[in-house]
Amino acid sequence: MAAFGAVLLGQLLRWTLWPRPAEAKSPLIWSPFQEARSAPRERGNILDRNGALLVTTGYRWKVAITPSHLSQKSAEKLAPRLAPLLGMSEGDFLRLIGPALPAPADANQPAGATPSAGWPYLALGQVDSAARAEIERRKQKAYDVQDKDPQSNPDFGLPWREVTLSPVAMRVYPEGGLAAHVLGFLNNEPKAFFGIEKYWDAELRGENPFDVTHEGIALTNLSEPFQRNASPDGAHDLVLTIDRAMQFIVEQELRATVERYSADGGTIIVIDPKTGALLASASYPTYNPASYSASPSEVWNDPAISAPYEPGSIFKIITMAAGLNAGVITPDSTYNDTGCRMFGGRKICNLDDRSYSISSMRDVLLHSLNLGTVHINELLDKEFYVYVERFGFGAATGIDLANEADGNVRRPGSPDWSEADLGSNSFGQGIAVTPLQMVSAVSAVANKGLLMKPHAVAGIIANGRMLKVEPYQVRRVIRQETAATLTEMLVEAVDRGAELAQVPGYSVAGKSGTAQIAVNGKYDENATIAGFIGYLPAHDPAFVILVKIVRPRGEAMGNRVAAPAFKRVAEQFVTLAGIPPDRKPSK
Amino acid sequence: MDRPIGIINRPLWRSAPALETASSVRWQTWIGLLVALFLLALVGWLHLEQKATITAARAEIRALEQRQIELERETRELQALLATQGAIEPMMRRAEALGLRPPERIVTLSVSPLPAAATAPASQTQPAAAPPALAWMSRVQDWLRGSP
Repeated sequence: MAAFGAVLLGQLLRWTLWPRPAEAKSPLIWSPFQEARSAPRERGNILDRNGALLVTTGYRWKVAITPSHLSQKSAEKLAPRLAPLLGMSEGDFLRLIGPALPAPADANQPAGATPSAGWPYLALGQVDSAARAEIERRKQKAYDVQDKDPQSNPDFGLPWREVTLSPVAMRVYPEGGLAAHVLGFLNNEPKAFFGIEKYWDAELRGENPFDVTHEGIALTNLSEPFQRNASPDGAHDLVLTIDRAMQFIVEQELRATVERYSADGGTIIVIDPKTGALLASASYPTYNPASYSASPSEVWNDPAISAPYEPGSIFKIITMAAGLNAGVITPDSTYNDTGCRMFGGRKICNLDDRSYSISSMRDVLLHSLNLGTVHINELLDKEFYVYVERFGFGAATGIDLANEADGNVRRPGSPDWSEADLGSNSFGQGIAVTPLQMVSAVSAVANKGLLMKPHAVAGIIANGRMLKVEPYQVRRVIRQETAATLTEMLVEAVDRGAELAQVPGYSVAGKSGTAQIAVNGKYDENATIAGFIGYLPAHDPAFVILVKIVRPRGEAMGNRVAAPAFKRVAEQFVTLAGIPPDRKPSK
Repeated sequence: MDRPIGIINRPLWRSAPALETASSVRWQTWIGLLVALFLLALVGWLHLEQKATITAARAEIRALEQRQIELERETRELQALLATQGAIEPMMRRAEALGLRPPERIVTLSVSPLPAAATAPASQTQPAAAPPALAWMSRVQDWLRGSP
């Protein structure tokens, strides 16, 4: 008896003081050990580098009804009160609900047959938050016994209880179509496609737990704009490296340039060469992710990362870097430029077919001489491809955006490579690179020879803390001295040969390019890709800017079409970022 | 009168000692049963009480969670509204409506570096006068020493 009593008392104490382990873990029962949140979190927000909201979650409300609990008469009473809130007429409402209502008793019905009991559920449509609030109000008024007057309370007694509301989450884009290609979108399922949404899908859904011990990641507290725009439910938010003001400038300039030259499209990318942070990336034509289905599916993919093209003369920067770094040339090395020559069994000419006779490597960049870079590759031979690989061509950069392409580099030893490719590759033909690969490679020159991994996410926010993504150094591709020498040569090329790209007060290192477009294995004589790539201030660069305009009309050359766009973007960027001039304005 | 034997010392299923009478056995049995019943009732009552408390708390938690979700939704919608109001394109439209225009040309004003701090020639330098506080202190010290 004593043992029995002791067991009972023990159980009493245990029940009172400590819940059973199963109960302690249950999210529905309070326990001192419970900290987990039982309600599901929404998809995280996406913010720009300064905390401005680019994507968040909004709601529409699905309105449904239980027709089996209604009669024709009660439906007719409800119709004038509910139908306008659904944006439909009473007649439409009754036509929609009619077949779902219980069938009235029929005297002619065969014996044994049961009349239809009506549908248990019928979706009526979706409403916004204002209509939802009104429906909720009317649902309450239907049971307000204090106000039964049909004049003041026409909802009293109506079958509002059969009307149900459930939230439907959807993505909201406060900045409209800004950075659409970078962001990607969610379809109605909802399933993520393209860009940040696709690449960071698991994190945005909160599936990937943070690993605070991960190398290269540091935890920081949130400053004001980030606190204000972080998800209220502690969902995983992403902070991008994109600056919305810079993105806006880039999109405006790109659109203006494409329209000015009636071009097929274009891309502008801006990267911080010291960190690899993507500051802005725009492609045109673009779309609005909130209404993505209204645009053709071809524009959903981001050409900046997934559309390889033959870069043309801007690739001469890479050939020149390889030649200088390998020591086969110096800026003052000369060669005899004959205008055209045979190389690997193929005739190669300068763009203007002119002969420049004895020319230095500075002249090669200044006049964009194809034969000059062919000369460099003749000296480099297959070592050229070592540099092509080191600069990151032929493989995805690894940027944290979905659908990045590798590009296409034919290397010696592969069956489709020939000696002639060594010549044409030197000036950016016969090699396919993505705009991002190109800007990333030139960033390495701007960053004193160090190649940084491009990235679009600066940090991840969860529960009031941010995990900051630190820049990642891929490798050294050229020596620091080589980078400095090449920068000097590129500054000279802009100062003496690209007036339209010059930014008053700032030294600009850059190169224009006019690439031909291959169509069915042949180059289209009437179509070009006009490009310009450059960085400034040249000796301590804050931005590397690539401008690519596809099939401009009326003007074909990169230094006429793309260089002015580069200049306008660069001018506004240095002002926005407050970068002091490094030259006297008169220069 | 026999020595009473407590139920704790003698469990019910044991045979009663020869000295015990039938009535005392019945009385002790009843007491034991009543105590057991009381304990069972107590256990049951406490269990029910706790379950009731848990259920009430559960309902309250659910209601609060629902409220929290509602507030979070509202916060998100307000965040979106605020961000939409401050979006670049509408702001630009509003600025244009006010007659503001983006600059046609950005002019950079370059300011020369400031000259180095001027230093007086050595010939013009004079020994600095003692600060007033120190002068006052030296007068006090002189007075303490008895100097005129």
